[in-house]
Amino acid sequence: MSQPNAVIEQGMATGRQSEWTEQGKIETRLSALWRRYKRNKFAVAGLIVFMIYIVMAICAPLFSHYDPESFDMMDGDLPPSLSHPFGTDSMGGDVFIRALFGARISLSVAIIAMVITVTFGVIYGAISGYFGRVVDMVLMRIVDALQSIPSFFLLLIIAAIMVPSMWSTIIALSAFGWLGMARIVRGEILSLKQRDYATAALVTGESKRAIIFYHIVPNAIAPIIVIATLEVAGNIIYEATLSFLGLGIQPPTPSWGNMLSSAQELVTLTTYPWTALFPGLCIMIAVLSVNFIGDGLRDALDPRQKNK
Amino acid sequence: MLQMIPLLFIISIVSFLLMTMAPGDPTAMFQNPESVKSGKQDLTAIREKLGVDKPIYVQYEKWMKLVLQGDLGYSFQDGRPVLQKIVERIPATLILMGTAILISFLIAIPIGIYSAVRQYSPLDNTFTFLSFLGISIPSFFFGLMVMLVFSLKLGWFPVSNMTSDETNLPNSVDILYHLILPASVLAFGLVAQYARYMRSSMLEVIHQDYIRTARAKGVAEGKVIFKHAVRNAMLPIITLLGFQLPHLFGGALIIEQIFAWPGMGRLAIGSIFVRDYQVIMGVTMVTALLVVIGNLIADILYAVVDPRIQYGKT
Repeated sequence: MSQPNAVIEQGMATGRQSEWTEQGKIETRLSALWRRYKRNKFAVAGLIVFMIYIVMAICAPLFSHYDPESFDMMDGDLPPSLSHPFGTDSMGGDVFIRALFGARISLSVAIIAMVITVTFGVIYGAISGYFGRVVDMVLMRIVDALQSIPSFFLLLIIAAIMVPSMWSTIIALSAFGWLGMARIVRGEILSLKQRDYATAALVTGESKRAIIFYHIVPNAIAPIIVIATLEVAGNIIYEATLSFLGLGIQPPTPSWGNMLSSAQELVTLTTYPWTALFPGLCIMIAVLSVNFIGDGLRDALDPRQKNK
Repeated sequence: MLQMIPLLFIISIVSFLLMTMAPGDPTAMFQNPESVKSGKQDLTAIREKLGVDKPIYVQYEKWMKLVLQGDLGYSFQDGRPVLQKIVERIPATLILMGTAILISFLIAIPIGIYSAVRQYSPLDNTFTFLSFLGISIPSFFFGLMVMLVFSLKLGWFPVSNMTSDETNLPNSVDILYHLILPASVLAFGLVAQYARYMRSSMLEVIHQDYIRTARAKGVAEGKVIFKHAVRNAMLPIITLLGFQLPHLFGGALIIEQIFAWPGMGRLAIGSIFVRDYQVIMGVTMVTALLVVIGNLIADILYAVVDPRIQYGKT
């Protein structure tokens, strides 16, 4: 699937590129993808918003004239104002700055956990789907069993076992996050391994590992990308929930979830609603934009589905 | 049916291993830091009494034997039987989840039907956006905001718990009154998912040949949609419901925590914080069992609703 395109891309690099693009007959895979992706206005908006999040998170120190982990008790519980756009929390921490640094933690936790679950889920699913029979049955029974336990429950148990920290949160999110990915990849591999090119690879004497990861898995890349994107959205919510319950990122390190945990006390919630509102909105908008990106990618990567 | 047994066996091993991996020691609770008397010997005595000094497989075997007799052990915390503790919490969780499912079905199915019939209409696009919003709001944040507006600011609904101490309402009405807010919050996320699912299921059905046939025969459009299409489009929703039960338990857990709803989720969270292994394992096993049973019911229901499905024949 990617082979002929690589040839075309090479050809284009050797000078005839402008000619071809002008004629508009040949476009690279990536530009075709982008052309389909940008038809979905929500997806484009999601991408822009998420980019802003990433830039803000990376540049967080530039915005802050307050330290996210320094607290000024005299300035506690101030409503939003010019010097504190999101107000301050009960400890005198600036909610805007904390939300900004919280984005660093929350987004990196979500993305690192996604990379781990994708790696593990793809390997697990590929092995199960390729080898089939007894291997498949045993591996899938394990997935079935784990999926019958409410995943959030497992998350809580894992989080409670470890001393809460950023890495414990990542491990908790990764420990059972791969189940869905494994199942989908297994289903894809099951049908892809019947294709002629897989048989051809087998006949030419390639190793099983090469067949699975070089020939078969790349062809299942579309669903893998979409699920990975949606996993980032799920991870942001799970991390926030864990930290909210006090089992994830621990204060004073800010994360969107633990900024909300003080709002569990009703007095705080009624009197200083901004301490809960702004971090909550940060989570919501981030998750929303990632979900839109995922939706756009789904349509762009699989154009057949859309016209149903 | 028989698949359920290895499934539950794996679940039991997983939950047991997870709990024994925990570094926290349940005996820590019995130590009185101010007492000089609670020395090392007392701790060893307690450990022996609770059986946590034995190797893992011995503990598992002992636990499993009791589980098979329906005995989930005793809570480290208050010495009460775990099964009793869980059983008294089950109704609250089931009421909450049942109401949420009912509410979400009543809202999501009409939305799904409308969105499919008027695909890409402004209202369909609005529903699409709203359902994205529904799956993107963390339920604890939404719960807190709903609580802030409807209970704390407007004072329409009680903030927490399942019943009030001082009330002249009959018990069932009182519970219903307390139920509205948490059930609606739990339903909100579900509506989004069910509506999307109903929409795509419906879209698939209305492009089928038998719908065209019905139209060609001159059947009124309303009848085509509601009699021919909806019934078939509803079928996959039943499977979705069974499939989503674990997620629903997870969602209920957070809602119970926020609204102080006395269900299994709240029991689980409370036990996790004090490392009450027996209760955590008990709740895990019971929820998993309920999920497996729920899936079985969904399968049976599917076969009842769709006469084309026949089990045992291939």
